[in-house]
Amino acid sequence: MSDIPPDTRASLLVKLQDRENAAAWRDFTELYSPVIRRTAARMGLQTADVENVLQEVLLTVSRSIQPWLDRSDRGSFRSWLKRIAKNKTMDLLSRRGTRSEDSPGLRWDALAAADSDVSSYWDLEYRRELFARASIRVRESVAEATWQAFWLSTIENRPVADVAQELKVREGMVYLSRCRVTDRIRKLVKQWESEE
Amino acid sequence: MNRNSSGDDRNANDENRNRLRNACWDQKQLLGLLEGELSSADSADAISHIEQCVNCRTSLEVLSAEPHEWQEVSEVLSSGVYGHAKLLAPSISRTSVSDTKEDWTESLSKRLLSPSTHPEMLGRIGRYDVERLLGTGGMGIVFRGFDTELHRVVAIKVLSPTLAFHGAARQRFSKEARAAAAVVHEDVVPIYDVETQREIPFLVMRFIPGESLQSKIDREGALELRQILRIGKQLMAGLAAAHAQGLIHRDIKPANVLLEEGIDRALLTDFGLAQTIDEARMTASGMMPGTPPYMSPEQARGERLSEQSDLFSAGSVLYAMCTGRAPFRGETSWKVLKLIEETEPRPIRELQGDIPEWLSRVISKMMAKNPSQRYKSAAEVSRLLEQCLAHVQHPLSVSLPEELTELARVDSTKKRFLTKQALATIAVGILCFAIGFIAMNQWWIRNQITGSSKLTTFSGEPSSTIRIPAVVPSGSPTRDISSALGTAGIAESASRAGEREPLMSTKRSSQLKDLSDYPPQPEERILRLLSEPIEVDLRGATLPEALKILFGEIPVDLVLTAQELAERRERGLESLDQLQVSFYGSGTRRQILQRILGEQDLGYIVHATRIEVATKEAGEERPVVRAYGLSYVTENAEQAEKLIGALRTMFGKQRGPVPELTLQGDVLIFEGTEQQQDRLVELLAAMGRQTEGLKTEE
Repeated sequence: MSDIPPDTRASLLVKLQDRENAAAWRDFTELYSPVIRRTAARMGLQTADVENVLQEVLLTVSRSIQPWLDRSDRGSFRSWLKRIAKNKTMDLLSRRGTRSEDSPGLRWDALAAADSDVSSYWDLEYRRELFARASIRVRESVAEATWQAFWLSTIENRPVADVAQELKVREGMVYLSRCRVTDRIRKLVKQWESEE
Repeated sequence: MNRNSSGDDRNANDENRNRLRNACWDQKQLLGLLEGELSSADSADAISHIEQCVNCRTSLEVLSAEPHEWQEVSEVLSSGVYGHAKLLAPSISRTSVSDTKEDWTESLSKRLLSPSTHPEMLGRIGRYDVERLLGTGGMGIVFRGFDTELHRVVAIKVLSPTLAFHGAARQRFSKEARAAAAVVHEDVVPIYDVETQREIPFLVMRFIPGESLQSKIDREGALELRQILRIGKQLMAGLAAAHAQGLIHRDIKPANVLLEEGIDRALLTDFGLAQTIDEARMTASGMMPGTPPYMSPEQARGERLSEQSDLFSAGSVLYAMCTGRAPFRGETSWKVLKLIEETEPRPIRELQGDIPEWLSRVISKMMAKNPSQRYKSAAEVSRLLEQCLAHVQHPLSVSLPEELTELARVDSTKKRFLTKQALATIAVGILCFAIGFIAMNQWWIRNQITGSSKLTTFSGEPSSTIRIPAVVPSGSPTRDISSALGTAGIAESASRAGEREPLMSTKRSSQLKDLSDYPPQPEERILRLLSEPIEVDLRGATLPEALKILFGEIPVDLVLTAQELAERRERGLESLDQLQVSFYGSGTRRQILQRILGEQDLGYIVHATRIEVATKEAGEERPVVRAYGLSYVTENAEQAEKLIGALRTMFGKQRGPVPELTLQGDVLIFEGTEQQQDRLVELLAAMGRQTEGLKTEE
């Protein structure tokens, strides 16, 4: 598991300028590919189209990151990327929706409504990716027993008493573990989100 | 309470500790516990304490994360598809999913209830003894209980603790529960008591022995015609009673229809409560609440609901009774919602040949995509179904209602035609709004590319200003466009269209052939044009020239971002007119435009109609925008509703209060903050309407 923080800090961006910097690109794609894919898939695109969107987004980023970084008023990387991903997704949706006369496809009104959906799906998927990554970090940083107590009680929804018995700890410890883990995951997500 | 009080005496200290173990911990101390900053002795005390004290446990949960964050963590990790989250599950033995579910509710129910005085009982809440769990739903848990004062069996619905933390959800819960309690009808489950002051709010209903329509359908599949009509009639009567109280149910589905054992009675339950979940869930995770197979299209789009939305859902319930399955099915909620919005369900008679044609027609009308094409009221449908039932029971003495015996088929060509036109109109509306939002906080220039006058049509002067470029090839079969569009102006220009000189070169017009099938709505044509691939050589052209090559004489405005404008200014390009284009090759027009203008947000606007915006009013708290000139929109109720719906959805997604939007005649009335007002004006202007400035209305 790569240890990059899921943010878009300047260091990563600067590295991305160098198209030959494979590590930076790997980090970047590892974080964002699932977000791009899932957003596109949620919009109802087929797998092949989803991959096309991903390719086009990555291509555009590689081509345009330099000029973008040179801009003084560039805003955040994340919103730039989101915009590119949104454009590509909408583009594919509209192509699909209008090409074929036989299949109903997306109607114009649906397409227009889809525009704002892409945006909220993106935000949702990005945030979930952060939660997943934060969870991985937290798991590495807490005792195994704490993680198990958290997992069984919170993710598997098992009764606290059972979990305590199975792990041979006090019930109070189970309560505390689930709160501690959730607290840390949340804080990490928050920190990453503010690190733009 | 001072936990750090120092005792000189060791014994005193220990005693103190024992006493304190039972006292509640304050926030600061709980935070210390959470972050591992307490001494080990204090930690041990705290752990003992939270084992026993629900309050401190809850406080600790609240301190560690917001309810929505708890939910997010749980959703992300239990789905197993995010990141490498599936690798995070500890490698220890697991119980099966169904077991955990049951255990969970059992344990949760224990958490919600105070200990019972009676050994047979699960616990106690208020003056009710709780006997057993009846079921769990999206918003809470239902128990069978006993009212110890009135000595009767009741059903107690407890708001789920996740929602109970949510202030807005609590408020809505009590508001709606009170409203629902006001509905008194034999086909509505009566509400006896609403308790909202407690930590966990609950409501008490009559206990209905029997099962839900859902479990009946699950067990028996499609129902028999008489049963369908009887349950349908009762469902609609219950709904009508609620509508009479101004209540919209929002969540009509077979699971919310209870069938009382022994007697033939269907009762509607869970009134108006769906909104509680909607709000909480939407804000909590941005997720769609529940499984949506019975939602109406407007609900699927997140628009404001009306009584007609309930009619759609009730139609879906009837459909399910006829066929044994929900009308719209898909693997994901998103798919189901898309189906609801875009497709017609499979005809009932294809699935169940013995359902009479007239019933299938009633259901189709209830499930019309457009709310205004559904029945006018639940009462009307209830009466209709009652007559149908009488007819089925006594076919010789009672005839079918007249409206069902005539074949009220609308000319299907005309119907399709209208829909297309409506779609085109609203598409432009929404699209322009979308652009407006993309271009938020950006300003835009309107670059009148061609000399053509605005495409305007509004009441009073329908024919004078419209202008349709000739994409309908001359000699193409004439359509009765006027009846389809209901706008004389468009019809007139369309009939002239053939006489105009073609705007595209012959080579390109061949690619536009299929457009002849469309009413000449400029907006839709622009949208189509944008997605159509063409091959062009624009080298050496200025932007206006390029646009002319790309779009002929269709007036197109470009919207640029502030950034883009600033950049262009730097390069001394004050106006887009000076932009030199160097594109050569093929692509869709949209791609070509993007290539020309860079990877920026790109807006395109077509002039369609005209609008005046006025603000005032003395004596009104918030300034009101009145947008006039919407006649072209309001000539068609469907379009107007869609437009308003789109506006609501758009504003609903923004921060801040959702503005009030209403249509009165041809005036759009808008109440919102100043910022929202500005945006509305911007959006309306961006829709290609002329803003006649802000002026005071008399």
